[in-house]
Amino acid sequence: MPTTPPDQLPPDSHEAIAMLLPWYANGTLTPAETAPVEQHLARCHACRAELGRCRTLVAAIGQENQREDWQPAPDGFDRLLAQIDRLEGKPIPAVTRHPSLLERLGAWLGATPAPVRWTLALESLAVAALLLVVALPGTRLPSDYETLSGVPRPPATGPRLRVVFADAATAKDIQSLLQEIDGSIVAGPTALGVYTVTLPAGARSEQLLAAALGTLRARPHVRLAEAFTDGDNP
Amino acid sequence: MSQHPAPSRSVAGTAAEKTDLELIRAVAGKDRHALKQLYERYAPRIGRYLLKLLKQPELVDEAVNDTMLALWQSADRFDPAAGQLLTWLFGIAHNKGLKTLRRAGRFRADRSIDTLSADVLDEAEDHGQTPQAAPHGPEQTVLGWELGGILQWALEQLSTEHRSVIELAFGEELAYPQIAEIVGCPPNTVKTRMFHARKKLAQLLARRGYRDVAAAREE
Ligand SMILES: [Zn+2]
Repeated sequence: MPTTPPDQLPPDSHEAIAMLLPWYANGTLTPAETAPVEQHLARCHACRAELGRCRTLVAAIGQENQREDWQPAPDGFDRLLAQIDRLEGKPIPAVTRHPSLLERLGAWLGATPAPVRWTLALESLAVAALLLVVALPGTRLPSDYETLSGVPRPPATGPRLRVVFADAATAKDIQSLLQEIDGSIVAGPTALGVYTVTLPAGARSEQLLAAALGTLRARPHVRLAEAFTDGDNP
Repeated sequence: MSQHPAPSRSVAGTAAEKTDLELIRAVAGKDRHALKQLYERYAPRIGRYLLKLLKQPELVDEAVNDTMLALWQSADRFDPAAGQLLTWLFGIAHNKGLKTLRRAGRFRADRSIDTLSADVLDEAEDHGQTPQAAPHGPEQTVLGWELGGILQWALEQLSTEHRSVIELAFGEELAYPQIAEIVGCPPNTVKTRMFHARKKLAQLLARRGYRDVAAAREE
């Protein structure tokens, strides 16, 4: 039976009817489909047994779904709006002046070498943010700010994520969030406000990353947190 | 769909609830309030399905977000003559879910009990990945929480293709032409997939002592 395509079966054959039983059980057949199914059920014991199994599945999976309800995060919709804003709502002035900025930015992000580990002295973060926002629309490359930072570069081997903080987030908020996930800012902000954060290297990097994403996404000061996928990494 | 008529949530303070079509038209005109109403109406149900499809709760938020973003960006392409908004949205969600799985590097489209050797399954058991077999026969536990746990385990062993058909039919109670539209295949393929999915489900459950729950008849 499974080898015969359903469309080659006579519509009121046992095989064709049996194929419809899951949807007779969930109550979604049309009246035209329902009538022959019910006629067949009246005289076919095997199909009645089959229907019983389908109904068991409807009930069991329905029960399962009731237990495992899913609800969006309380700020789920706000995040969506923030993303929409980023995509279309709030053009960065530089973009309109220099249409190729985004492409250059993308290339820059893709080409960022094992980045500088910034010790999070808050003042220098603010300064660096300013520097980058000023510097990026031009043609300066990461090597410039690596020089500026003057900090040696240990290899970043831990998992990395991208974070966009809410406009209202203060430096103190950012610092305490980073402490909570044991993360360090290694690059950013880009002209779009994206920071790259690295987590400690270790065996459980996948769980670490998931936990950090969970923590960040639950905070109002974080507009976006996502994993740096392999393709993003140089 | 008989079990799921128009969503019951009404928008606070407004007398008449807007229809899906009114809302999607408004979204096409970049009305964010309308987007919010559709989000509240459909995100929980889409998330529930994606949770089943992806099996990894940490991936669901992102896939739901991607789905609703696509709704915002392509609302003007929704064609009410071609089907319901729910079907259209589930189709987007299904695709975003598969994309998320691929991105997460966990996508194994052809994984199924046929391609898993008995050794692999036994090894999985040895590592405590499966719940205990039910101590009672199916009569006592068919609808009890014990089957719930075992069923969830069995569903998770199915290929993405098979699991989606089972969840959309038995979990979301959708008609087979809707499922065909969502997963992007002919309606008859949905029927055959269902047949094979149930057969595999029955084999998995039989390994745990449930012999008469999900079997697709074998001729
Ligand atoms: Zn029959």
